[in-house]
Amino acid sequence: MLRIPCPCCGPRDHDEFRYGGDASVPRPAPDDPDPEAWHAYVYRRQNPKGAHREYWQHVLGCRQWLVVERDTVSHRIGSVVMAREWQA
Amino acid sequence: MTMQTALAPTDCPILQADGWPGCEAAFETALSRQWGVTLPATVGDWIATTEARILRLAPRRFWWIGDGPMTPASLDGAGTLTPLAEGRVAFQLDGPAARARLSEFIAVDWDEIACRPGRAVLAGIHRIPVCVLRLAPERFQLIAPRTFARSIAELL
Amino acid sequence: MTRLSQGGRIDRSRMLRFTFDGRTLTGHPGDTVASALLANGIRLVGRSFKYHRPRGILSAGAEEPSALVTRITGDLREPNLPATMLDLAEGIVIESQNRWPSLSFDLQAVNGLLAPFLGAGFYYKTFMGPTRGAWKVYEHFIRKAAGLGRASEAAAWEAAPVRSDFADLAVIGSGPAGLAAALAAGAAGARVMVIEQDAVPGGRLLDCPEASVEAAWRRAALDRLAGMPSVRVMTRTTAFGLYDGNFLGLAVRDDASGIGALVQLHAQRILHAGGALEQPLVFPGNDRPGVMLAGAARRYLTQFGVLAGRRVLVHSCTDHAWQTAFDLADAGAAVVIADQRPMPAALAIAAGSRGIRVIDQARITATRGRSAIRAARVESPTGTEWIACDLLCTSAGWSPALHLTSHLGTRPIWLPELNAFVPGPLPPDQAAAGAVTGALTTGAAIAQAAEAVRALGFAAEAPALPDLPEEPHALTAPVQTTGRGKAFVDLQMDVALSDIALARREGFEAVELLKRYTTTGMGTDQGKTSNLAALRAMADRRGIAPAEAGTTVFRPPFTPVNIGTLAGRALGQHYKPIRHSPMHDWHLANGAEMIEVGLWIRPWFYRAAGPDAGAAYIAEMKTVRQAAGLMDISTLGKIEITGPDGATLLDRVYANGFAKLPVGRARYGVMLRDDGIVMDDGTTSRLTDERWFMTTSTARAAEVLSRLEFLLDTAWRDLRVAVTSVTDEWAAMSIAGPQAQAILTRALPDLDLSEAALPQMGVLQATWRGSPLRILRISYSGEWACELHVGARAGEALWRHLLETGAPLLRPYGVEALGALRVEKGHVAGPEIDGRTTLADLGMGRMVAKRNAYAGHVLSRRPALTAPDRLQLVGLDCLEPDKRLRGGALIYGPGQPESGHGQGRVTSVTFSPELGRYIALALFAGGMAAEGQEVATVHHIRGERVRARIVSPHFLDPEGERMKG
Repeated sequence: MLRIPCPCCGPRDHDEFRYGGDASVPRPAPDDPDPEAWHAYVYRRQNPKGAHREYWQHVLGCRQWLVVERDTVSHRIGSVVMAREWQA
Repeated sequence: MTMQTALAPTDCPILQADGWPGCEAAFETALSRQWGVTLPATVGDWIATTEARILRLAPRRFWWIGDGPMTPASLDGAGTLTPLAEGRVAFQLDGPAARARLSEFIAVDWDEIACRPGRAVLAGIHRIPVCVLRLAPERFQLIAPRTFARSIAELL
Repeated sequence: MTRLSQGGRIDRSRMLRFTFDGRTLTGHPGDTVASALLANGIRLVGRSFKYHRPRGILSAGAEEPSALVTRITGDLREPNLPATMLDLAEGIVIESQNRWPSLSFDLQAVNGLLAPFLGAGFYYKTFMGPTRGAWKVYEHFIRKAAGLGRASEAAAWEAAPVRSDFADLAVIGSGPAGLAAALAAGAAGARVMVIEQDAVPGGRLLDCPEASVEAAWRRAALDRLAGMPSVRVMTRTTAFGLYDGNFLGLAVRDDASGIGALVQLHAQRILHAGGALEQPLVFPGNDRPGVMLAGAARRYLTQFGVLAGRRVLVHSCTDHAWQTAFDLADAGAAVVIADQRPMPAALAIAAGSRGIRVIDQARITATRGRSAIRAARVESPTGTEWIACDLLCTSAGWSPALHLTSHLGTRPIWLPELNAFVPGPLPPDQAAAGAVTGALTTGAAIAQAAEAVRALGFAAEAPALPDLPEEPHALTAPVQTTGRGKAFVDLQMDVALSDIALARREGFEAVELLKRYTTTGMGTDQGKTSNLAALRAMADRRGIAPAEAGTTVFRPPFTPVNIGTLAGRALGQHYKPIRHSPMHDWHLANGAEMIEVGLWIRPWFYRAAGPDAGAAYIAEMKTVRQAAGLMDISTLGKIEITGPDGATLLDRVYANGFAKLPVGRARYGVMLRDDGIVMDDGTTSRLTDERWFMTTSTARAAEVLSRLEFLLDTAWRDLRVAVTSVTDEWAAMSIAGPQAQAILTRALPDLDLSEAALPQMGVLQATWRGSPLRILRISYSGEWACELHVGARAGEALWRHLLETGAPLLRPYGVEALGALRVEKGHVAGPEIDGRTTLADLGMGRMVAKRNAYAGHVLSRRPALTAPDRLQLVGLDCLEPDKRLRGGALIYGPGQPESGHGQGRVTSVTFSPELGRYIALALFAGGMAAEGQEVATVHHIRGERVRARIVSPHFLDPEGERMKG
């Protein structure tokens, strides 16, 4: 059971959250017409072994989207920040 | 150990206030004036007035829990009000067994500072989002969505 | 075997009666079933898995491989319970397992004669002919002949209790290391939870007599811990798994109720102090009843006052086993020690003073005795002789119980001086102390524990070390002997040295293959007394060091956990939460047959319309098309969107435009995923310039809300708009049909519901008896229809009011009819919006012809999603009047072979009363380009083949005249 320290609510079990994928990929502007840009955003991921910054939403709590640093091998949770304060 | 529970839930009208990003100060000034209170500073803190309990649910979201000014009025363009008058019900859980009962469903450390009286715990009971206001060490108000009320009453 | 007249920590003042295989026996509170059986002189307690050899009690703990019994409580059978871990209780009924007709006379022992054919991997090599199917016949009998206990068919228990708990320090084990750690951390004020799987705390300290220094220390430690309010000692509790986040699964045995409680413990720090498991020596005939671990014999004496044998042979390669010899001799047994090592001088003196004969450099090469051991053949430099015995205590050393330390992937490492594995490097918030690290004396355990607690960050002082006597603990690597008869490695799986040799000959040398080929270590005991021996046996045959051979990793659970315990309260009705509409009670009281739709429970059909779903939905459809129907749609997802940038948000997330929607109007909208596939559809109404009311499908409500919140928190942070779920705020109902407008006007006389005031797609805000009311004139069925959203508390009242006003024409209808009606109109829903279809596939390409800045737009234009031969929406007319179309059937075009995936699939089916035939929506390659063609729809699993014609999906009223009223 991953324990995610939500900045608003404190440490909670991961089953209170919804997973949102890799947070290091910026979303193209809504009117960006470039298929390559959208293809990269939707499909291309690094899948690193080690630290991974990813989105989690605390759906059963404050409903905030967070950026969580998780080690993909050990599942240890590192830093957690509000998604609003995060730059990809 | 016994726990008194009002397993018959009561209505729980709520007025939700949301502030716009970048307008936090203006939003809280306007809301403070409108509701006549000093707003809780930290997410999860709540205060009681004669009419209501006021909870900071999220960085820019507040709840007025109680009957109250239901007409959405202006917040000087810094935010908006959404009435949530009928969507939730409240259960009262009292007694030494109340905390044990809640621990069966909610994985929070009730000894932690974050869960002391004056704090609310937003969590899930069996995948249902609930808001638990800790009124006293052994008194809790549990606010849950109306459509899940029966399920929760049965679980408890 | 006797109960001594004194000694032990049982309550001799009370007697308990219990039953074993029909015999009534007695014991005392504090006994386990195993100790009580031994006290009654019973040593034969089961038959082995494959060969049905007589088996007895090997140990005094959870590592027990042989003494597995079934407890019977009424109809309930709980098989495979180790007798060593079952508390004796009044009236408990126990049965031995895997024998017929009886334990002492087991016909299936004939398997022993077939032993040469039943070696490792036999089912790959024998019983393989004469036909391919023959194995299935053999398997049936082989399965019956082998196995452990028989399970119960009865639905057993009520929900098991579950709770979450928290601790600053979780201490696993209550031996000297565990108790010392709890004292140190508890004195520093930490919240400590000590987890002990036995009924009594103390671990190895329980082997020491009451008068000993160790026992006194134990009593004092428990007293002190009892006085620390922040420390809890949980007995009968097994930490069965360590999971991410220092999350421990604990199973608490409550032998009264049987099922046990589940505790989900979140621990800041963990101290592993689970001790070490004594290992038996491997020699021919080492499985007879009466062969017991040396430490266990000592435990039965000290804890239970049971002398497990009168003529004892102690065979070991360790100093520890000599303590057993001394204690048993002091209790009156005649003891002979046969040590594998050269004579240890200091211990020899103590042995001599007790009149114990010692044979050194000894090997056992055979044993005798059918239902219990009678003698063992001992070979040594001084010669070979048979030594009579009724108890053979063996010790091959210690294997740390390090399972939990490796649950998160830390591989154990080999400690040469212990001849066993110890925990690998632990993360900074975990530590290990005591025998689990290979520290085999009480003094070392206490010292290590204090150090570990400090290293974990607790400001702890070292507890004072008691004045402990010397504890000899030397040991050497065990020697495994072969000879006449099987030398068992895994008692539970009946794996012997010969099987390991076989595995080597056949190339299954690697430890993972060895395990799976021979099944060693795969029983309920998971090899706790055999893995090390198996490893050593293979390493010896390969000529490598055991460290090189490696070890398999351990996974939870440490010991078997009842599945009911893991299910907790999520049983039956409580498996998942149920959501109820505000009109739920009315439906139940008025003949609704209900159905689960996701988390909701909805009316499927009403019994007044017909006796079953198939009849009722047709009647309900007719009502809607000819008169008027009322449907509860409270389950729709509803989201309130407010703010100056609401229009911008909607324009970006919906494929079709919303920014220019006038106030007081609703519009059907479709959302795409970012990859261009349709995600959901719904209707959004503009209530004011800055307030919108969005509905989504029931199934995708949560997903849509999360997506909006995601976009606002990440990519579009500047938008001034708030989104909130209001699904529970509103009770919603849809009234539809040619009479609907008249009925609604009568029901709501204060409102202007004329065409001018409420045009198609218009929105009206009002109140009804003080409750807020929103009326949306939108139609799902194609008839004149409105959705009414009223405050949830007034839902049932408005529902009743409408039905009373509209009686007798207005009738309620359920989800079956709802689905049928929309099929007639060609409206897509879940079966068509299945995560694979685009807007163009669904015939809605024109909706977005002029738009481009919406989510999913760019990728929806890629070649694969715009290919003309994609599966696209069509209608199907059934051409065979005596048959029906079936959802899920595959479609084969004219002239195409009817196998493989075909050219399409049937998605939604209904009987149309108006058209008098079955119709369907389907996805077909090329879509309407194939209009008019005759196709075959084939449901291969049901074996149905039905001819159909491709037609427009808008079966009824394609111009949409009926909605206009």
